[in-house]
Amino acid sequence: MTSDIPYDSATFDAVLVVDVLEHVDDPSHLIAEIARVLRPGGRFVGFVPIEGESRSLYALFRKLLGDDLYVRTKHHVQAYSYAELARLIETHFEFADVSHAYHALGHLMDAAFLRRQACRGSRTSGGVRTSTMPRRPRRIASSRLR
Amino acid sequence: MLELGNGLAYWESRLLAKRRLAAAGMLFDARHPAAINSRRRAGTV
Repeated sequence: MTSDIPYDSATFDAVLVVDVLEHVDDPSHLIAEIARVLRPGGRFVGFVPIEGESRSLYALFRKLLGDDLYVRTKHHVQAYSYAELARLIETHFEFADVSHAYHALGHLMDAAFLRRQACRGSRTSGGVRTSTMPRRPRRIASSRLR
Repeated sequence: MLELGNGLAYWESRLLAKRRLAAAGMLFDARHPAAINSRRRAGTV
């Protein structure tokens, strides 16, 4: 489903988006809407998990526990690489600062949690997955970013 | 406990600063292009 942000254009000085972009079906539309509701001079600050890099612990966990692991357990319908996310944001914004968050210890806890969730999901008929959710995370086609 | 966690997170970030393998995500601070262009014209960027 695609919907507009229910505010007039150029309403806000800043928009904070934390752990959201990986959940939305049409991130290009959301980014455009954020650009619309921001005033000139506005800041767009956020955090997005990077689960689409081919050489990462996320990729390893998906290989071990199923390609739809993060869709089932976290409802993450998007899996971005750094380049994909940067292209998405740069369609409407210019980066002032970029940094990375780490949680190697958290990855170990994730592994235990996700393993349990994956086993539970395979034993029950539904698990945490809903029928409307895709089996695989979506990758953004470069044509959609332009 | 919280201080221990913060300390571990700090050193983890320092040690892994250039390595994306263990990165969990990207933090960003972006600007509306209109603002950047106007600041460039004003010579403040």
